[in-house]
Amino acid sequence: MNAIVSIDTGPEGAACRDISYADAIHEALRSALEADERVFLLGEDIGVYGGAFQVTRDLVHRFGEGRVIDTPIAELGAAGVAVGAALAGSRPVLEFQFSDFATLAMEQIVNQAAKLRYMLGGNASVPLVIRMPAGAGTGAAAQHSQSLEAWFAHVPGLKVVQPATPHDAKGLLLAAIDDPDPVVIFEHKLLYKTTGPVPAEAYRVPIGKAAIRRPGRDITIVATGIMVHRALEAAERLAGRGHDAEVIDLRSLRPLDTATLIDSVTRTTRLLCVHESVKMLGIGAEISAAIAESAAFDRLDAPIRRLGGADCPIPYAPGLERAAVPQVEDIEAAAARLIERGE
Amino acid sequence: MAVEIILPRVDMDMQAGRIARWLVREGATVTPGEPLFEIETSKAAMEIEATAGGILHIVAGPEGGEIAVGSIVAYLLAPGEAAPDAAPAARAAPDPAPASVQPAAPLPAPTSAPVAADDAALLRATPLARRLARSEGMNLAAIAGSGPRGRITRLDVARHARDAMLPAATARTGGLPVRRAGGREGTPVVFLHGFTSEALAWNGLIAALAQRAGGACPPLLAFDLPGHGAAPDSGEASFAALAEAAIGALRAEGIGAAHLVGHSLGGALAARIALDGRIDAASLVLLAPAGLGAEIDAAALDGILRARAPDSLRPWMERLFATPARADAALLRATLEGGAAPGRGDFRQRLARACFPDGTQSARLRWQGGAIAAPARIVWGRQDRIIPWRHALAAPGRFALHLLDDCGHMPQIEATGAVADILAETLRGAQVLLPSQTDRAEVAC
Repeated sequence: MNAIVSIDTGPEGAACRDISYADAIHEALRSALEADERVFLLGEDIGVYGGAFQVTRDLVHRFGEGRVIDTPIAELGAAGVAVGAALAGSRPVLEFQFSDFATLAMEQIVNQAAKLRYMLGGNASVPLVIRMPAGAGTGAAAQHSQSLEAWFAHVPGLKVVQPATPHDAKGLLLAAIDDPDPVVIFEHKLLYKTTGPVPAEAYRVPIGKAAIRRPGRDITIVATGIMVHRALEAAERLAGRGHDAEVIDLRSLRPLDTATLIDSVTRTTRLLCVHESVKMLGIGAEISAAIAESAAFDRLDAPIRRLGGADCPIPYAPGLERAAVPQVEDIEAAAARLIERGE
Repeated sequence: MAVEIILPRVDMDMQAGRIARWLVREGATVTPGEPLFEIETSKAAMEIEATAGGILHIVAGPEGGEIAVGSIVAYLLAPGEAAPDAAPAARAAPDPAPASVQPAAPLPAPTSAPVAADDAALLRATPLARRLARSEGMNLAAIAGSGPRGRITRLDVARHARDAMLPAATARTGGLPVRRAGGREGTPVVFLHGFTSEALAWNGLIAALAQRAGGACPPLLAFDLPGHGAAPDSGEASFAALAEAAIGALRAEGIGAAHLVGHSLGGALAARIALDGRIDAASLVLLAPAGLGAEIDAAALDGILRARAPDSLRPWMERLFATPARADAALLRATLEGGAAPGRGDFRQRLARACFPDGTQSARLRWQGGAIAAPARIVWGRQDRIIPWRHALAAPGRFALHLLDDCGHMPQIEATGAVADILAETLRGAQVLLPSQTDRAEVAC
């Protein structure tokens, strides 16, 4: 995979350490478990085994099996328990071992968690957090490599976030646990071992707010999750060709921070959307339409372009797997083509 | 290369017109200025002249009926050159013979796929290019597109505006460098730029005005003032000296009467020239003029004078606009280059000290109780942070005041279309009032 550059700067004077994305999530879970007795975790192998990606590692020993619960291999049941507990006043954090397995639990997520506040006339809410390890690049083939975030972002009643940095992984998770409604967090598996500055104390990153990771004048590249890092590397290469790219880390898919996007495109006059999830009917299509429907339309000096996952299941063969999702060189080429040739 | 002849806009609100008749036969060689065809609109009929020379290849004739403004109606070709593929307005076979007595034959059925023809005729422009052309009153059909399949981009619109003016001509004896555009007939319109600007900065407005005036455009002249553009940095650096230089330059051009357009310091100069009497002001249009009050943004002036790099210039240039992004890289580069000549910084510092000592406008216009009888207008952006628009209230009561929204100190850039409209209106109004050409000629001598 590509080198990940550190793109976060911690708050002035705060004690920031460079820790991994997985450690940042661990830190957020630990501080939430310490701060609020209503918080508990559940998922497959998250106890003694520590989770498939070692995110929860020692938490069962610190907080006991009553608050870090290993569930059977029955996603629909676990999701039902989590929804019920949330309705009853708990703050469950449910981990799916792979986001692909959430397909088994769609009834509870889409029909129950997302709907109950509405159907009960506001008399109840489901303060549930769902963590979804997602994405390709691990050689795990088509059933363990998907990026399904756009599915969930299509459901009114859910919030969907996609942290790209350790800083945001911690801050968005804590904001999600605070949230009175269900929040789905997509964590890219290739990001778990990446590091970046993270303040030691508990802090929140607002849900629904994008971040400009690199200001630029010639093009807006909107990226999600791991694509933020690839877009930043592409931006550095573009700088070598005399192009100044702005890179926006979308961070939240729902609610979508259209104001930041519109403002950026208004300045740069060009837009490239980059995500790993399948391009067709993806978040890039929603962003493109939002821009075309906004006042930024009149500022466009080139067509809007999208890069997304290929229209196929994620292949097992490493070369094909790489080709199925956008890479740094794809982003660089698409952005350069837009800037230099207007197409 | 084939020169396109388009159906021009001869009326402010004209959308379409028809060709009454061709005055030159197909295949004839024409010279620039030769009348080519008669155009008929809902309001008027007029002759259109050739803008270049060449062999005429007619694309649209009277049988074409109503044709959209900007459609190609003919090409001027070099000897042996083939005409480009027939374009949109080519609905009827060319018929160079006027008043044909033959009965109309039924039109032949189209032989090529209509889809392909439509595609070739489609005017492609990015939304941004369309918006810019709209706001600056430009005709997209007259702009060459550099994008894929001829798509017009922002750069093409900017380039078109820039090309509206000729390069600065060598100064005549006793004159100043001047850029020319527009036609050859009529009372000239003279543009005087502001402090740290130059004649070239009038490009956008001049292109928009030329478009509005169409075939009846008077000569448009933009001068580089001393210490700016291609003008020398010598002589006395004072408001009075600048006014003398401008008057001298007008007289060297043989101009006795002119429509005067000035911006900021150039606005004060235009008013001063109109009051002076040696040049007969046919009209006066002042954009955010100096000379009407005491306040001026001294920090911005100082910052612009001191800046040596885009990053140090940008914050100050952004103050000139309601929309800071208007201070774009091209403007920053042009401003830095304009101040880079050796000795220029010193001249400008002295000029600033003379005109704006201690951050105060020292030169105040004395209106001499209605000495300006010509139509006069003041145009100001409500968001002007350099000189407050309320200074306009000090102008004589005969002056009209236009206050523009979403506009700062540079109405000619930020509200090009509106300023061009106001100018065109002023020129039309002044024509009615002006004494005859012979009267003015005496003044000119």
